[in-house]
Amino acid sequence: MNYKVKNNTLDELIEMARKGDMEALEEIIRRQQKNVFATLYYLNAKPDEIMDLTQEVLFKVAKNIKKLKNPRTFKSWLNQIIINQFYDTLRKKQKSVKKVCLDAAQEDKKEFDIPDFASNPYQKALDKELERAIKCSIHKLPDPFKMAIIMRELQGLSYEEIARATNSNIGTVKSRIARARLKLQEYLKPYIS
Amino acid sequence: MLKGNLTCEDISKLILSYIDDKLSQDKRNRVALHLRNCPFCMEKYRVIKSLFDIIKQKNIRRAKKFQQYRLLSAYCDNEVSQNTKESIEASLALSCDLVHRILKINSLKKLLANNFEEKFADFELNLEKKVIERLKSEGVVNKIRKIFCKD
Ligand SMILES: [Zn+2]
Repeated sequence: MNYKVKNNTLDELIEMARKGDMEALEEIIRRQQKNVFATLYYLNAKPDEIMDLTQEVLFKVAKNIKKLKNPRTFKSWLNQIIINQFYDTLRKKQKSVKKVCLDAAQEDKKEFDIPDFASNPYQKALDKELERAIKCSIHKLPDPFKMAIIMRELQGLSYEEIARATNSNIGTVKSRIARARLKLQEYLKPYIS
Repeated sequence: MLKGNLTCEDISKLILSYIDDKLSQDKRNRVALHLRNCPFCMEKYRVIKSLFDIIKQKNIRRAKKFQQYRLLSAYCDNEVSQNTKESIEASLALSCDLVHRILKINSLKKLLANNFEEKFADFELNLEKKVIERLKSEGVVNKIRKIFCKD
């Protein structure tokens, strides 16, 4: 772990990386990798492909960071790369996007193995069920809604950043998020008090 | 207390429910009977009724303004203008339906946030070294290529 860059803000790191500082670049990747992975996970990438896709995205970030003019647009830019990488891979394989979730048993087997440390087995089972319900519900959303809600709720992007990442206006983003939420409320009704 | 004819005092207690149409058939008839025979209570009824109508109108108009779900959703994300924010908050005091819808959006947000947070909390990827190595080796390859492909 490098302590020199640990306390820098993301904006500062981007500025440093743009000037060729490799340690700053490494720190940016360290901080962003989980977001990239999680986004692809909810975008419905295949479990065995998520790791490769994540690496490709991070590599493109590293390679092209010098082309990023304004550090403030980093999050939008990163998500553009994620979206492009995801759909490029899909297109190359000439397969259409899988919209419906597979049945639970099958899905479970293919589940990417992410360790969880919940100790109570009953709670663990409940969490697992909820987790699956959430993942399935997000997968069922139409693509633009899916991406908007992931950027908002998972990554915490502002409406403006989401608009920039998806090349749309704020009004569109507002209604996509609102409609995605209505759908999710419907799908997740049993879990929402 | 409400056996027999209603007194003016009874009317004071019942008048709002009467206007809001919340009384049983029997009570409603008895209030109406009293109002027909008591100019004092009738006057009181007229004043309260007109006030009530104004408030109700305002309530409906305000609530209508925010029927658009997307504004409420954006409100929950703190992504609306100051004006919209203030109007929504003023309307919240008047409309239970709006409050209910906002609570629902917020509980969904909370559910998702908790889930995302927990799922990836202890998840380690450690890809940074790999990515940097690849970037460096690609740089070396390009340099070599430049040297050998000069002609
Ligand atoms: Zn009277």
